[in-house]
Amino acid sequence: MLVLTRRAGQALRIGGSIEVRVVRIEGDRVVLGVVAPREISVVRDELIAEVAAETRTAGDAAGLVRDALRRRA
Amino acid sequence: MIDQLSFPDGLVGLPDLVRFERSPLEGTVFVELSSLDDPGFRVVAAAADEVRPGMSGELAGRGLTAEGAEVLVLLAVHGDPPAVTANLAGPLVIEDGLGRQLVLEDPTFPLRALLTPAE
Repeated sequence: MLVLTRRAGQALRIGGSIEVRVVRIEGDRVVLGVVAPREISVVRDELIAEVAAETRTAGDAAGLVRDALRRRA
Repeated sequence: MIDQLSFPDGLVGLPDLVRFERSPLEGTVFVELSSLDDPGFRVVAAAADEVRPGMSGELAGRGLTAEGAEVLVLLAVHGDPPAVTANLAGPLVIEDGLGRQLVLEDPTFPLRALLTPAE
C-alpha cells in the first residue's frame, strides 16, 4: 500500500482524472473531497459492506417478502 | 415469462452468484431472481420506478446507467411490526442482457426504503 502524508488543503491525484483533496481535519475525522469522472464509483467502504449485508438479508427474507406481497396484492 | 440474467461480477458481497433466472411473482408486479449458482439463494425484486418513481431516469441522468436500462431493487423484511423494505442504495441494473449491482453514495437512496406493512 502506498502511504502518503497530506495536510488540510493538499491533494493527491490518481491517474489523470481523479483528485482527492483533504478539505479539513476534525479531530479523528478527515473530510475528503473527490473529483472523478462520473463513471468512476466513489463510495465509502462501509457502505459496500452494508449493501452486501442487505443483499444477503434479501436472500434470507425472500419467503417472507413473497408472502407479504401476495397478501398485499 | 421466465428469462435468464447474467451478472458477470456477481452481486455485491456475493461475487460467485453470476447467473440468475427471473420469473414473475404471480399476482403481483414483482419478480423473483433465483440463483443458478446457489440453488438456495433467491431474492424478490421490484422495478425501481415502482418504489421511487423516476429512479431509473435519475440514474441515467447521472450517467450511472444507459438510457432505458432496467433498474430493479431488492426487497427484504425489517422492523417490528415487520415491513417490506426496498434497497435503493444497491440497485440492480440490467443493460443489453447483462446485470450489475450499483452502490449509490447518496443518502436519498436509503438501504431500507419502506414499501408496505407486512401483516
